[in-house]
Amino acid sequence: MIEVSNVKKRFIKNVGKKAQEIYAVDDISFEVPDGTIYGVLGQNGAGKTTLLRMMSGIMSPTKGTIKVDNRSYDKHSEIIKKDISYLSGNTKLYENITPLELLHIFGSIYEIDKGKLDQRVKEIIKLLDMESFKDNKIGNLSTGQVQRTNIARCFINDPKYYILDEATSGLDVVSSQIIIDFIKQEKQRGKTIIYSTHYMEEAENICDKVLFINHGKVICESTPEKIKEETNTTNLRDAFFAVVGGKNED
Amino acid sequence: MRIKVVLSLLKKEFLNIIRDRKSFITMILLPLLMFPILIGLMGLMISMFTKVDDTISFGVNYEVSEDFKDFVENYSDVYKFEIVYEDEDKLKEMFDDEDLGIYVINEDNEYFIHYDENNTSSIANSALVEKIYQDYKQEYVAKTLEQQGVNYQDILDSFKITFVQESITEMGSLVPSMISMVLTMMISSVCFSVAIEITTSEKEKGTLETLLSLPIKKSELITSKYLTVFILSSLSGFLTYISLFGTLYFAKDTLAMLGVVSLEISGKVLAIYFISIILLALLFSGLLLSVTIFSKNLKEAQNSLYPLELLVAFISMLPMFGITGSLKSSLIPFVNISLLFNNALSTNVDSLFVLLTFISTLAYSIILIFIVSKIYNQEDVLFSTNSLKYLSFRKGKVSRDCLSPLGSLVLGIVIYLLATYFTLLFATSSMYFLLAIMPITILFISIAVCLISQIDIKKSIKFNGFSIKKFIVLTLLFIAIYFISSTIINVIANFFPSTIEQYSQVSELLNVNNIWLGLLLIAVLPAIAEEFFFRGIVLNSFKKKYGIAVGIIASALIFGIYHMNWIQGINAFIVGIALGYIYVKSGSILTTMILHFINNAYGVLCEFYPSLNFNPSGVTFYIVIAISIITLIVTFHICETKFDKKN
Repeated sequence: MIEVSNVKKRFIKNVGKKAQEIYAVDDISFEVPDGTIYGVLGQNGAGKTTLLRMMSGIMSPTKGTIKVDNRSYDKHSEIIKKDISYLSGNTKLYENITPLELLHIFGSIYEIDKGKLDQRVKEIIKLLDMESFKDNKIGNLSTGQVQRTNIARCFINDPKYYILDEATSGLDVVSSQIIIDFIKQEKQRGKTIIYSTHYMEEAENICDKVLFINHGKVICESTPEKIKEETNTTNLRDAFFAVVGGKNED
Repeated sequence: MRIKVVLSLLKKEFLNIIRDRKSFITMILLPLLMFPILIGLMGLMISMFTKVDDTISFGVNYEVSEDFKDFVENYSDVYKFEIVYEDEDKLKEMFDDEDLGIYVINEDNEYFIHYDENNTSSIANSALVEKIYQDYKQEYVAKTLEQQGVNYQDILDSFKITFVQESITEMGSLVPSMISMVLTMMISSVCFSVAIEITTSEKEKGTLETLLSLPIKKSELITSKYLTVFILSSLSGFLTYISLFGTLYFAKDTLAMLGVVSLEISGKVLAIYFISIILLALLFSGLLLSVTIFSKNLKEAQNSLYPLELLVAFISMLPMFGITGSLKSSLIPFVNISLLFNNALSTNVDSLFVLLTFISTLAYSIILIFIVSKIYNQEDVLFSTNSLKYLSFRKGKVSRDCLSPLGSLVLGIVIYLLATYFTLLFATSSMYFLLAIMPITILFISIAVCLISQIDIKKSIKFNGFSIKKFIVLTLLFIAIYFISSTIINVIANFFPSTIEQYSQVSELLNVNNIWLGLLLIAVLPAIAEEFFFRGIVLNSFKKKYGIAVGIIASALIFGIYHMNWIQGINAFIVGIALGYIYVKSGSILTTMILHFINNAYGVLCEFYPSLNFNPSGVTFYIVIAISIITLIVTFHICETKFDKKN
């Protein structure tokens, strides 16, 4: 279980000559139960990326605590990170390395035994159908192939939690379907997925629970059905606008 | 730190960099091929300039003697000579049409050899023609003398003059400085590209996020990055080294034509070069990494690195200007390594210089790695949310109040060592300059540290809040303490006469002739610098952690020790306590700066106008002490009751 309690993240932005404090995440608390797909939804700049980066230990909160299975990042960063795989639209891979090498290197960083790692790499390559391009440089792969490589590197440590930040944004239908299938499949295997997007339809289909955030604050947290019921809307997109109080412009 | 993880990270960095074709060329191919190509080209050029035609024809505008004809015909087995007889105008014409490379004009028994400066074969041939004329002249002189019964060779051998060339280096000075420059440039440029690749590019390409989500400790990350830059740059250095000495060995003949006569590369030279390459790589890796980490993007990184590269290029050329290593320069980074290259080829290597260079470079590298690891831990540097924060002096940023007590102590020691070093370095300069070193070092280093550690100077050192009322009361307090303190000093001096001697020696050293310079160097500069550091930084740092009393005493104690002799030290301790108290009570550093100035200025004025010396004795002495004590009690009381305690 991931517990986020009273987390704040402050950035300092220079406006002209003066520095301004901005809270990208402002006092957010929630819990992610094991075995669910948890959606973090909001507009661009709402603080989704910062929140997920903090949850995966890439950034540390200015205030508040994040606990993963009752361990906090301050003391057990390396142990927690072995249980989490983070994938975002921004995470890129090294261009001059082949997928096979990448998996081996990452596996050894996760301190997986040599024999076990070889076995696991073989399995993953078979599972994701990467045989044809496993020895090509990542820089020469197509977007879909890169996406599969990215998923493969998330698989390597067989994590308990997946944190996916806008993983489908900017991808074509086929490539994003790879990710969606991956999410559904992993849920079947009892994994927990924390997932952020601004595609409301996508979230509506797969999320067990969603968290709406705006300007760094939680607006509401519930199941998609309940939210629709409460706001009297038929889809999550309208529900979001009803909650945020803005207009549905498109 | 887990070594296996570091090795995996290293593997990742290496694979990613070496596979890049451009990096491969700059790191491996260029260092290997640079010297053979360079020397080859030079050899080619030299052979062009020295290549002589098989048949050399030259024109003359006069009738040559049979003797000369025979002489020319039998001159060489290799070359044949052809003499063209024409008048001057015709010769010139042929020369202009390039039918003739050389022509000789005879005017009143003076022979002018004309040749074409733009034509390499003409230059080479003319040297030979000149030699013919010189040799013929010699033979002519010998013959003439012989006819008069004199032996030419005997006269020529009557005494001999021989040059004995005692060069400092075995190879002349051009080659070592060239080697120094090329190696430095090679290593720095590889460090440059690798450092950018693994920090800035990682940020720009978005792989950093992936990397940070892995279970890696920051220390492992930094170690792997530092090692990557270090290993790759030293690798390039060694390839250059192999290519360089290989070329020097195999291209002896070409080099001989360049004036490099003897080429004795001993094991010692090779060893010192080897060490120098490692040192250079160590230092550059730390330096360039700490710069590139700040940069948001490639452009910013390049902009901040180019000035650095230029500076290093200049430093690496120092041996060219005939600067040789001394123990003082062995502590200056880069300069020492550059001089070490030169030193390696000199006949007697100063082993102390090598050792000091080695130790100091190691120390600098460790400091740099420490800085790099500190910076790399900063999230906003990693994500460039506010990357230039540390280097810019913008207002309004979130600032700290003061340094930690330990920090201020370390700062004090660093300043002291630096100032001592500068003083030794410029020991032969003028007195005025030496006097200015200490306060200026204090000021510069303190301000720099404040800026780096984001201390708001105006606020935390307390430059505002000056009030005339407080100033008058506190001045009275200070004067009272001044008299009491000088009494105490007199008493101590009576018990320990040797301290007086010491003191007078010191004051003699400080003798300056110009009153205004004296005031500036002994009163104004120290007042500003010392108050800034001892009160503004040291006192505040101790005050924050241990309270006002400890703050005042600690700063006074350090202020006393800083004066480095007993009598001045005790005086400074008492004055330091007074100034510390005044600083806390007035809440403004300007007050103590002015009082400190008055205190020192009085000393300077007494030197110039002895009548100002106020040395009461007998009844006056007791009156002065009594008044002082009363003033002290009264002003102290005012301070404690009237002045806002918050200050």
